[in-house]
Formats: sequence, structure tokens, C-alpha cells
Amino acid sequence: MKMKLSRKIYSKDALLIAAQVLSTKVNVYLEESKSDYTVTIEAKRRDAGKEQLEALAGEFGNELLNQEYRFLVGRFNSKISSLIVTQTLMAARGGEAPAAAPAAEQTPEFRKLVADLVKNAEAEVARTMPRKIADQGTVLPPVKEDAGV
Amino acid sequence: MSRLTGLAADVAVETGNLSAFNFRDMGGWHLLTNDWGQFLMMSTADFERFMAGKVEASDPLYPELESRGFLKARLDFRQLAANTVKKSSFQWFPGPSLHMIVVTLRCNQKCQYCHSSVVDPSRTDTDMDIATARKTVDFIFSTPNPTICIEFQGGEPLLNWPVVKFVTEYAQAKAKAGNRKLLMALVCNFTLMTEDKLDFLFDHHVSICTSLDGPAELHNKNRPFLGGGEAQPKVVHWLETIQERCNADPKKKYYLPGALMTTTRFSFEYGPQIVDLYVKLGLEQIFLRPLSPIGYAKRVWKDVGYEPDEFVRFYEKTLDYIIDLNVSGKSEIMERMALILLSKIVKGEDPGFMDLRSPAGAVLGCLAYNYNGQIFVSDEGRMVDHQGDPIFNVGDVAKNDWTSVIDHPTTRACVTASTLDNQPMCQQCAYKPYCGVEPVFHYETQKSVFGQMPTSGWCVSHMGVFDVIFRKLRDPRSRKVLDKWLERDQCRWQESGNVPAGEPEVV
Repeated sequence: MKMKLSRKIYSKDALLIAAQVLSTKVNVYLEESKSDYTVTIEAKRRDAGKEQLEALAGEFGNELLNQEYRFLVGRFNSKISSLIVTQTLMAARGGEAPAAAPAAEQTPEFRKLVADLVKNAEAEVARTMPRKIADQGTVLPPVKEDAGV
Repeated sequence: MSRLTGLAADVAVETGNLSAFNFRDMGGWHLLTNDWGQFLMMSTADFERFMAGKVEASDPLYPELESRGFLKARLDFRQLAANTVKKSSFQWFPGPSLHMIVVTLRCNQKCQYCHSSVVDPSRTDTDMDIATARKTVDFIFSTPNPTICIEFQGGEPLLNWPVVKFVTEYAQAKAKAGNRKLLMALVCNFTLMTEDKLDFLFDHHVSICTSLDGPAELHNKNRPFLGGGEAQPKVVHWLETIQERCNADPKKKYYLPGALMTTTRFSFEYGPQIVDLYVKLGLEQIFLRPLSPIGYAKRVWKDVGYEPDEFVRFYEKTLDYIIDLNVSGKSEIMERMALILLSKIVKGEDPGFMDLRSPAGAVLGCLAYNYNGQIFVSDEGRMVDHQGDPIFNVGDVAKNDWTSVIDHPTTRACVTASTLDNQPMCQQCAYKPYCGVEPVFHYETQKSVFGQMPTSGWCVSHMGVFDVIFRKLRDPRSRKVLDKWLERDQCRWQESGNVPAGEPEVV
């Protein structure tokens, strides 16, 4: 499916981001002339019919609009959003370097307390827990695209 | 399609004295809000007079508009700035306070929707070991927030009990040495609880929360045991036992157990029965939570999931039932989501709910630690990793320090994407001062941390719930109940001195 989009209205950045967002569902090919972009959309699912392809093209159009709108909002609100993001990240950082461990943790009493806790915990693991097996990996198989979400 | 509402074509607009605000047509009346967190509900006729610049100083509406920052020439910047700081206090917080530790992925239940994507009880390779647990606690205490809340999650955390005990004792020793405030919470399914474990949890002030989806037939359908059998009676038994022990000892009063329900498609028929069970068990609150299509739930969405507006209908119907119980004096049970939103809207405070912040709580307010020491922006981010996509991994307790986590590009992307001033649609929405977006949810459902609000299930369900809450605030009968809830909630925190507003919502 081909779409012709005016360069006066849409930016290349928005086209590229929209293509990336939908990259699990479609292949997007982009050509440009002086006045337009020509976007060719192919469904990744081989069994996709005309209706599904039209729906995917619609999704691409929605995402393209979303990205253009985001750029617009980003420019319009750049000062306030930069202020909020910077303020929040700087506050969360809590200073240039991580604080040193408190002095009370450097005492022999604290070290002994921790050594005892570790020893007791390891003994309890050995006493009460099933034998630990070798790492089997935990990644689930890929989710199907038509999961209904 | 945008769900924002516009101005009627024939409404006259005189912008001279209008300050910046968003509005929503609620059908017969209008809601106005502004970035200072102030709101006003007014008839559509009044709204149109206001828009046309026809509200004079002698008008009864004028002082309301003035005091809430809707008149450009009459802004009290000192007061409005104070309101903003109170509402968004988390923007000044020194790092996360909520730390979720997954001590094992093993579980003895196989819940229909399990977000945590658990593994079989034989998979001991997914247990956190003592060395990793120690490094995890060390990392947590290297973050700068003076208040630390450690929440045990899983899998079923009681399957790795020695590590739960070790983390509790080690964290308490470190909190004492470093003079840090420490809160501990355990989220478990109760089926492996024993009196000994309960004694330890009480002795160490660990608050306890479980999952209770409703009556036996619903709970057992949603949350079956791995080998078959009914889990619900065990949950009810332990809820009753813990409550008895709490009620018998005034010192334990504030450790009354909490329960959480997850709404599946099957829950829709059971709204009143779920509430009745919570009332019968003496639970103070119920939290009507939607299911998110993240992790394992995404795989079974066709079986257990639903459209977001179906959830909103269920929410409103069940909330109506709860309000009726309160009005009739049959129960004083409160609904948690309503309380969270009311704290934001009516009290202008941040209740510490990570999902509804701008920017969101990912890293800034919470971190999740997997059994192997990997650090994620949130527990949902960890679930995405479980599906083979490590995009939300921001470090490892054995290799990284706090500054590398907060400076991580993924952290910055999540913070930027969840700042509502960067979000199309959100920045025009009347619910912006109280809402938030969740980057992991949108990455999972729309393949972008920014998401696309007009088609976002997150936006549909939250906007719907906000609509419900504002309609209740407009209705005098419901308003009376909601005000009472806010008063009681405030008293509870004040009396306990446990979790003041602004600290993490432990769920």
C-alpha cells in the first residue's frame, strides 16, 4: 500500500519514528521527492489481506500524527518540561557522588553482627531449602502478535 | 480518537482575564482544572459566562475563580506555587523510597493473569542467594532517600523464607546504623504462612498484604494451585488469624493485613459479592484494580482481559455499591483508587502512588530487584525482561552504583516520556494535574515508551475512572461519603505515624 504525504505537513523524523514504532507489524519503505514523501507499507504477516493492510496503514497514520503532535507539544512546552525533568532527576540523584557508608557500619560490632546474620542465613538455607539447581534461564517464548491486547 | 471535549461552536470567548486552564464537558456541567492542581465544577451556563468574560467581581462565582487561579489578573502566585509544590512534592524527593525485591520467581500457584510470570516450585535456580540479597540491601541503602520501604515480592516470597528473614534483619541493622527510616512489607499469597513466620513478621514490624480476588469460585478460578485445589479458604483463614492477633494487641493495630484484588473478565459478575467478602472479613479498604496486559497477562489476554471501558463500567457500578453500603451505615469500607485520586484532587497532596505521577515513579520513586541482582525501573519493567527484552534493565547490584542508575539513558527516557507536558493530548486534558502515564505499559501495548494517548487503554481506563470520581464529587450524597473517607484516611496515618502522605503506596 502506498501513501503520498506532503513534506510541508510531515517531517522525516516523525515518519522514521512511526515506522520504528510499528516495526514489528509492518515494513515501511520511504522515498522522497521535492514536495512529497511516498510511503510504501507492507504487512509482515504473509496472510494479511486488504482489510488488515488498510488497518495497518491507518495505524501508521495515527502514529505519524502522534509523533508530529509530540514534536509540536515538545517545542511549545520545552521550557517547563525541561525544568521538571531536570529538577526531578537532580533531586533524585541526591548529589554528585554517592554518600559514604555511615561510620556506625565500620565498627567491629556491626561487622560481627552482619557476619553472624550471613552465617545464620546460610545455615538456614542449607538446612531448610531444596538444593539449588543450575541456572535454567527464565525467558518466556515470544508472545504472538494476535494476543488480543 | 481524542476523548477530550471541545467548546461548543456558539460559545463566545473573551481571553482577556482567563488564566491557563483545561476543561472538560461533563454533560450539563463543566470541570475546570489548572496546573496548580486547583479545580472547579460549574454549570455549563456559568462556564459559558466565564469564557465570555461576563463574571463580574460582584458575582458569587468570582471569589471561587479568583482563589483557585482561574483569573489572570488576580493570581496569588505565592499560594499557587505552594499548592504546586504540595501536589508535586515527589519532584523534590531524593531518589526512590520503594524498593521491590523479588526473592524468587517460584510459586505454588498458577494464576490466570500472573504478571510476575512465575516458574515451577522446582526451579530453585530462580531463588535469590544470601550474597545477592546482601548486595541488594547495600545498594538500596546507597540510594539517597532518608525513607526506605522494602517490599518482598515474587513469585511467592515465602518459598525463599531464609532470604526474606535475612533481608529484614540486615536492612534493620543498616537502618539503625545509618539512622534511616525503614518500612518493610511482604506481599504473599498466604498459602505457605505459618505461625512461626507470622511471629517473625510481627516481631520485625513487617506489614503483610495478600491477594484476594473475591468469593471462592472466583478466587480459585483466577488463582488456582499448581497441582489443583482451592487456595481461597487458606487466604481467608490467615486473614482472619492475623486480624485476630492484631486486634488482640494494640501495638499491632497498624499492622492489620491488607488485601488486593485483580479484576479479570470473570470478576465483572461478582462486584457486590467481592465487596461483601471484604466487608465480612473486616478489611478497611478494597482496591479495584484493572489488569494490565503486561508479562504473562499479555499472553492470556483473550481469555482473561477486557476492553478498558468495560473496566470503567465495573468500577463505577462497584463503587456505587460501596457508597450505598456507607450511606446505609452497613459498612465503612473505602475504595483505595478513589482515595488515591481524592487525595490528589481534594487535598492537593501526592499520596505516593507511583503510576499516577508526572514524571512517573519509575526509578524516581521505585526500583525493582530481580532474584539475580538485576535492577529494573519498576516491577513491570522486570516482567518485560522476563519475556526476553531487557530494555528496562538499568543496572546490577553487583556492578553498578546509584549514580549510574539515575544517569542511565533508560531512566532519562522514562522520565521524559512520562512528563505529561511532553505528551500530546495529556497536556490539554482536564485530568492532567492528577494523572500520570506509565512508560512500561505503553512500551508493552504500543511499542513506544511515549505511547499514543488517543488509542491507549491506559488513558481510556484512567480518564473513565476520573470521570466517575468527579461525578461523585458533584453528587452531594456521594460527596459526603468521600469526604468522610478522606478524613478517616488522614486520621489513620496521623495516629500510626507510619506512612505519611508523599511516601510510597505499598501495594
